[in-house]
Amino acid sequence: MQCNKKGWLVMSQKDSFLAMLDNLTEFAGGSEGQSADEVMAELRSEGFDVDDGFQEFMKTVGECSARSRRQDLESARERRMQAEAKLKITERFKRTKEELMATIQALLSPDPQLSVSWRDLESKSEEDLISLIEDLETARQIRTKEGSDEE
Amino acid sequence: MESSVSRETREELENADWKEIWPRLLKCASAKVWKSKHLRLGNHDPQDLVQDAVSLAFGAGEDGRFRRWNKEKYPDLTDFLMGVISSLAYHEIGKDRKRKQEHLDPDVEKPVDPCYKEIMANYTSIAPSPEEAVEQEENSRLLITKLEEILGKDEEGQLVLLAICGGKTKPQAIAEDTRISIGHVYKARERIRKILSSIP
Repeated sequence: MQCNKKGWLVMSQKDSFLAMLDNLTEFAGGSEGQSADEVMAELRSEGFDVDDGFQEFMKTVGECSARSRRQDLESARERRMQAEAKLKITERFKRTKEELMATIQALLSPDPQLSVSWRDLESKSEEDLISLIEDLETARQIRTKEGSDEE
Repeated sequence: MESSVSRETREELENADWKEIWPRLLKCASAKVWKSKHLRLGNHDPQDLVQDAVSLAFGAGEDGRFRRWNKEKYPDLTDFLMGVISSLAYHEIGKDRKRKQEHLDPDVEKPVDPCYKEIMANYTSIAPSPEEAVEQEENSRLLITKLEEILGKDEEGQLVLLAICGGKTKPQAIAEDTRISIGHVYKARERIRKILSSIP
């Protein structure tokens, strides 16, 4: 920007009046150097009902706080339920690796087409074995249900 | 759904000195609304903008929307909330623009790909059309020229305006730039505000 005879509002290529207006509203909307009471008085003179407005605002703060606390409680409840469910599974599968492998073999035995060698099972982690048992049990439940539906 | 604000932040918000903060937020929102009104981009209630900003800070915005308070970037709560207000004002303007576009051209074919649609939705909510950009620029020019005219022989006011148009927005920076005392910059701000509020 540079001065000319008419005034200083001569644009250089990179300046934009919109950017200037942004700066102007940023400046005009600032309240540095003013007390809160002074700002309130100004707002009042601009036509704001600051007394009602503030009460309304504090009501919103209270509602938001309550909503945020409710969300935390719900979240804590969800976490507790998940932890309880996990604990139940752990309790149910409190067995040695050999016992888990034997359970898998037993679950597979009715179906001769499905078999897993002991060595294959040994290479799996306990968590993998538990997952496999759960999958096999689910598959068996589905098959049993299908069988009874056919009958 | 987990609250998106930490307990510490929530307690800070609950115990904030709102009597001190609220008027400053309303002042900031009022200036943003003044701008969008004069650029004919919509007319929002500044009090709604302030309430929406605080709801977002609490993590209690519409549809679970939230704004996380980055205390490293904004150690001061008022500054953080002013940033949220600016962003909200900007996006509200974008929404109005989008609604206006849809109203003008209701049969416009929408892209099928949802990803593309989302990208375009964000794009159209932010970027004005070339015609709108020209109109905004012209309206901004008229407003600033009007302010310059009304300031007339108010030399300090003119200098402050020059610093603002040069990119300074904080009174301290303007005082340093113009070598006007900070007290006089505050007084010039009062005069500028009065002029702005008198522009129809």
